[in-house]
Amino acid sequence: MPMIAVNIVKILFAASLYGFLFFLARAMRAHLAGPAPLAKPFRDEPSRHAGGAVPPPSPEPLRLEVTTGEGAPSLVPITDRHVIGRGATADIFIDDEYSSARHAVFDVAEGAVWVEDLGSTNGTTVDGTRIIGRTRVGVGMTVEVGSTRVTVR
Amino acid sequence: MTARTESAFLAAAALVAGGGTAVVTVAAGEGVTIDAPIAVLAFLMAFGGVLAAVRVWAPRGTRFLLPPVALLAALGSVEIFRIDRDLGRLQRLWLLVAAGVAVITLGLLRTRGTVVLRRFRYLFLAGALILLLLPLLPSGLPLGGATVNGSRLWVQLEVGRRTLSFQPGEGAKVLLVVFFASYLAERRHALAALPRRLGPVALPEPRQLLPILLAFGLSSGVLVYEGDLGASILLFGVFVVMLYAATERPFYLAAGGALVAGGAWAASRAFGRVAVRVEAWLHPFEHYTGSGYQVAQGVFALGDAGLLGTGLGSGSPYLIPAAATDFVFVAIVEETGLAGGFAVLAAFGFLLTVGVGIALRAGGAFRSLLAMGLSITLALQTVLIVGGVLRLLPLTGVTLPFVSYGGSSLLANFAIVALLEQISHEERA
Amino acid sequence: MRGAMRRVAYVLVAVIGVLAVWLTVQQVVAGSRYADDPRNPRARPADDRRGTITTADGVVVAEDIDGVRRYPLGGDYLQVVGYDLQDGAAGLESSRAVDLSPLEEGSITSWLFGVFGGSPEPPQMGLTVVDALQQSALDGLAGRPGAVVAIDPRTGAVLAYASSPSLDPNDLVDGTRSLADLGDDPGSLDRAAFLLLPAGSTFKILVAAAALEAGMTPDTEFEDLPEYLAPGAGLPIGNAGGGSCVAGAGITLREALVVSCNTVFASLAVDLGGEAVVGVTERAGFNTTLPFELGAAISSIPTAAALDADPGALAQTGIGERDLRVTPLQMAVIVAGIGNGGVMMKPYVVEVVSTGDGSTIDATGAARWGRVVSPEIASELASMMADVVADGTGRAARRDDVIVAGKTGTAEGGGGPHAWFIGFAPADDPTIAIAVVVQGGGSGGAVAAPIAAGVFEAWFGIRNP
Repeated sequence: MPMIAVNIVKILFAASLYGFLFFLARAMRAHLAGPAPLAKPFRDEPSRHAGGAVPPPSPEPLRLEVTTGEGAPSLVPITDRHVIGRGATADIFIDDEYSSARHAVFDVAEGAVWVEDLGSTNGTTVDGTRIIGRTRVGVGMTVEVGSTRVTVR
Repeated sequence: MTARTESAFLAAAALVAGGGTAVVTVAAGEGVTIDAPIAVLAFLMAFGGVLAAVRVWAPRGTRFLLPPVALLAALGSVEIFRIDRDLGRLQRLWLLVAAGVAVITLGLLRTRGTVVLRRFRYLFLAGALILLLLPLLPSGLPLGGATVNGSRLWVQLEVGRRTLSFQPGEGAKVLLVVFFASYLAERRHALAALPRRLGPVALPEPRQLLPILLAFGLSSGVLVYEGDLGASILLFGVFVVMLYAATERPFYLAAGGALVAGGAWAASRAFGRVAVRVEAWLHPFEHYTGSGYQVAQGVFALGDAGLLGTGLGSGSPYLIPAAATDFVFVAIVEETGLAGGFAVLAAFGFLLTVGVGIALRAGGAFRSLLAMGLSITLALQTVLIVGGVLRLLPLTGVTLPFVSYGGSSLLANFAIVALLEQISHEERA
Repeated sequence: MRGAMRRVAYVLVAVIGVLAVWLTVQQVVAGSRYADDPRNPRARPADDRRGTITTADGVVVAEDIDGVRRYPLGGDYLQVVGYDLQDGAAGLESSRAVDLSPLEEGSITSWLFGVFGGSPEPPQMGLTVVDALQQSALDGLAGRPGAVVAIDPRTGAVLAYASSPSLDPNDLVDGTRSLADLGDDPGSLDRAAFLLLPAGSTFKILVAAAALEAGMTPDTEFEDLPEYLAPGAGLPIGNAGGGSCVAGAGITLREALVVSCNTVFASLAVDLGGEAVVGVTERAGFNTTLPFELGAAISSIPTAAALDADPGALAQTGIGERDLRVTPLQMAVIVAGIGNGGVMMKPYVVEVVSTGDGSTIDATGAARWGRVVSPEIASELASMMADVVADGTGRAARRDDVIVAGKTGTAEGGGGPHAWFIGFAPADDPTIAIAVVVQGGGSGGAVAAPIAAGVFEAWFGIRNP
């Protein structure tokens, strides 16, 4: 092959390798940036309807106080369905090896918080009682997910 | 990433393999031969098969594992084909067989998951030990050991008139990691307890040191009886790092390091082979006509590379002894330059990141440790052989995963891919 | 457990990063240190092509033919161009080997060529030497031992650089002769820059300059003695042919230079003193290394103190004899300086180095070296030297179209007197200056001046056709 052809092929080959790696890295980044840790609070979005209709005043938001083994407890406003667990797809991520990837789900209904176990290995308890099915959690009650304690505030 | 994107990456890797093969044959003045389309076909079949198995039996498995593996395999198969046409064609066959192994692995685990492996851990340990002992069988039997380049790593099986050679150590590597993961998942709390104190240093109960000493003994045995420095360091290194990961106790890293240092010192004294390797590592040009020849040829090849290399098929990588196996990285650098070398390293970095990511998200200590151990195995092997051919470390004859020529190695590494996919799938289940 | 795993992952990724850095380092080290290792089977022979060397008038004097270095004009340019052999190189082939090679190692250009392929043509080199003058000089020397150096006084560009006898470098290339047995060959000496001879009467120009600097004029009269005996000297100095120099009682400085009157300049040197004579001579570049690309021997004169202590030696020095030694190149530079209003330029032989497609890589510019005499004295010397050629000892160099200034010399030598001529033309604004010497050739006026006349003929034949 003439020298110039060899060099063009060299550049093309290197370019194809780096193109491959580049798109792979981009796909990975998109994947990691994918699901947001918390579902969007749609209710707080201003209404786009004409006439300046005022959205109904939101009630005092309920919050979950999440206490893991280490560090200060974190407060998570609860507005919708939130899966808790240590998987990448969990809405509330907890670094707790005794929990499952998608351990349990919290949701808000009738002004109260409800929790349901998602078939986790170690189960879920409310104030020490293992739950079966969707269970109501009143303000001040504590849910245990693995070794993590979640208190409704 | 969607399934379609993943398929696109695999197809692109197949094209890299085919295109590279075509460049090699054109550079040799043969024009585009049938080898190029065959390479594309082999890659599509192998990775298409694995992809289909993953999508059917482990549908939630990560989609980021197969693309870098396919890229590495493509680069490796092109360079092996360039060094030795027959080896290159054989490697394509091995690739198909390895893909079959991955499919079978996924199929076996599809219902009960990786956790089932815990049940058979002592079976795996025994299997690994038998595999490690196989090469020590006397030669000449229908199934017998063989010594190649001073290391007794090979087993030859007489099948009719043909002889099938394989390195059982590669399989033992995977079985041992499964055993380690299972063992450590169960014992890690006991091992993590450091109740005794010696001054400021917290120490475990003496009997907790037994496993690390056993692992060290096993590795030493591999070195002493089979002369395999690479496998010996790899086995012990993987065990120590897994032990550290399981217990979070740097004490074990220190203890492992001390054992390696002491062992290395003793080995360089006791075994001429090790001393010769170290000497060839430090002063290859003073032993040019002897032990340093291979390393020196590697240095010459590196020196010829430049930014973009000599071009595929336009260098002389065949001048290096063991170019297709131990020195395949240098051969790739010679012909594709620093650019190609960086691409290989980047792909391994990617692979490691994906593997550790699976380990971090895996449910349960066993799966997590298994994924970690398998990832560490691939990474350590890469560091050992690339560091070796670049004269950062003494040369140990381990293969470069997915890239080097070798059926046993390819089979074992594809089994690792299948296991990682399965763990990744279970994490999201 | 996860913390430890993360740490392990970070360390391993970092180690892979270290491998990438180490790969780069090893590649560069291996590429530079082992590329030429004799054991390296990949070592390629270096690109040993060399560019063509051409004279100012377009004659090729060195070129590659079928991968072999050839010198079409044989020994004519040996002392300038030199040769390029496996076991040694000389001349410009040695000093400009890098300029003549296709690429500078490690340059961006070479990298680009490496990436995009192709290999560049080696650069071309253009000399300042004009082959018409060179051939005229060589014809004039006709194989007799000697040298001719012609310089453009305004720039220092060397127009002719002939040394005789020479030898054919093609014989060395072909291997019919080897470098080892050249040691005693008379052709291996560069007589232009390395032959040290007494200057003879050409030196009288510098003594005259010292006299003018001491306040004398061309018309200052001296006693026209048939013999001069310096104080304390054993033997008197006489004039060529014996007797006094001119008819009549006295002789002016101008007349003394025109007829090259020994007694006048011998006594003048003693009267002016060592300091004055040595002062102007050292300003003319004696006892200093001449800045010349091809190298040159150092022309020398004893110290003023030594000469003052021995008036006999000072008297003989005044007529360019005794311990005074000068190279033809040095004389050419000095006479060019006088022609150039007193300013000597650095001599150079390479006009330009250009790429294959003609763009300039390197060009030599004119550079001052030093001042010999003031412009006024230079002009007075030029006028006197014009008289030397017009109706004195230098008549053989006279031309009809151009006024030539010059001075002859006939220096004592073991194998017969060395014939000298130095000069420049046109006298008022010279475009060429020259120094000619023929070892043991005889009288300067009869032997050296005609050679200079031939070179002037070639020069003005080109310039004023």
